[in-house]
Amino acid sequence: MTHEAFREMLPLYVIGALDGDELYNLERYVAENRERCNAEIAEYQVIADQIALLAPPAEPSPAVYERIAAAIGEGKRPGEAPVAARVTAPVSARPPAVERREREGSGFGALIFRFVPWTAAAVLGVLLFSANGQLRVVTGQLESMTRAYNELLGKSHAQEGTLTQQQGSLADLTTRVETQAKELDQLRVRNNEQQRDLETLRAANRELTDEKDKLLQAADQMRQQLERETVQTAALQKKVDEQTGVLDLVMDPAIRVAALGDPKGETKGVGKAYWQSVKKTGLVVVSNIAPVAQSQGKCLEVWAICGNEPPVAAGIGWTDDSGHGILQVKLTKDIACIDKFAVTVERAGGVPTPEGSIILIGQ
Amino acid sequence: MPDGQSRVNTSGGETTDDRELLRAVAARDREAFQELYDRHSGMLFALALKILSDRAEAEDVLQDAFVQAWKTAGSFDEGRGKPLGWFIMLIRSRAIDHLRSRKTRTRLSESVAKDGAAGGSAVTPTDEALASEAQRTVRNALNALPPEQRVPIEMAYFGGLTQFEIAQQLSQPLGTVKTRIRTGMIHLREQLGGGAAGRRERTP
Repeated sequence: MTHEAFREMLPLYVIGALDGDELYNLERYVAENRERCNAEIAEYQVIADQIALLAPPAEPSPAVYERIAAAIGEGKRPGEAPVAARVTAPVSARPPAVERREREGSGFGALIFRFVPWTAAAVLGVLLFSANGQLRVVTGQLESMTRAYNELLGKSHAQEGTLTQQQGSLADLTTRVETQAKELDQLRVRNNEQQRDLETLRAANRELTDEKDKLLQAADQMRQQLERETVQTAALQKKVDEQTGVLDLVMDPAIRVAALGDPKGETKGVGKAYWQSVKKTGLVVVSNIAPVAQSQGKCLEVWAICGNEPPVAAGIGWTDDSGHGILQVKLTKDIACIDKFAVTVERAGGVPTPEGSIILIGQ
Repeated sequence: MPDGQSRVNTSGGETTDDRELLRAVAARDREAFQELYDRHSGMLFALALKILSDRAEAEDVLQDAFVQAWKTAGSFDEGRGKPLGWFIMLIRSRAIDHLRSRKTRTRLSESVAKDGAAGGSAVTPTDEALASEAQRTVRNALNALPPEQRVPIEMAYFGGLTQFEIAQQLSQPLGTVKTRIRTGMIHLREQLGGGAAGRRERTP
């Protein structure tokens, strides 16, 4: 700690507002720099002490000093007359003249008692004279004992002073330890409260985390479901587009239709060919034929025939499991006219000239 | 018992006497002890009563402090201040310990804060009549401070609260409380340092 820091903390120190590390550091600095600090502390302490004057005037009860006197072993105020001495003597009912006469005495009895003290004194004097030597010895012993007692008393005072100093230091230390213990207790209580708050917050955080995980899981499932439905919707849209194309073609007033059938009449397979000669587009719808799937490595192929010219490949396709299918007619080259449409079963991908047998044909 | 003049002394003309008296107390002089008691018990009791607001407790504190002074007068370090400052320290530390033990600091500090909001320490006409010039000087100097400086000083001095506790009770940052106490004490020092004490020294 610097002396500047000491000076900054001093106004707070003298009114007892410092605490914790600041108080500890300041007191340590003061202990290490006692001579330099004491004058400055005393200067501010005078200011702090004057704040005490703000207390409204009040006086303690007289019993307080009596208790203090009892505690320090005095029993009463110095100079104060003993309690018995302060009690007023009862007033006599007899006249003062009578009392005076009684004190002075009268008659024969009084005469005898007036000579008794003189006689006793004479006897005592003889006795004292004879015991004078012994008395001097005893007096010497008494003086010696008194000196020894005074020496012991002096040592006792010195030890008592040391003891009171140590008691004072001990009392101050005890006060400081008690204050610090109280502050420590307060800190412990505050720490426990904060630990409890922290635990509560942690528990709440765990619950929130669990909730968040559940929500993320649900969101993931919904996203997967959405993706599946998007794929299905796209497939349906494609099918709708195809059906719309078929419907547009079928509804075209310029369309020409040819019925197709098994040339040998051995199967129930039937079909219809729709052809728009201006746009050169069309389709062939087949039903009740043996199913032809792409997975079989085969396909249905449409052929356009003009008179005795070789058939022209006009598109490929497949049926569903029940033998129904729609084949787009796409001419692979120009043709002078179209008299007939035929359908054959060919290798996957189609062939330029028919290799399989005709399963449907129509004019 | 102490008269009005002697009860308001915190330093000055009688300080030299106080030191001699305390030395005599250290040598077990009971008359010196009684003289110190008669001179300062009123002011010290008033301080204890201000802190504790309870006569019986304040008298206990006064008794405890004087018994302690009797026992430890020999340990008084004259280099660190004046005897009355030492007595004030004995009274304050014990009164504040009592206060903490009965856990009414909040009530007292609220009372101090209320006094501060009302414009200063509550003083009755009787108090004013009994107050000495030195008391009025100190009271004027303290009341001249802005409430935000005076209130934390009184909370610390009479309530025994630390700067941290004051900041909590006033809901103010710790640094602000420190600055206000320091500024207020510096102003008091300018007003009272050698002022009220000096006047008391000149007062017959």
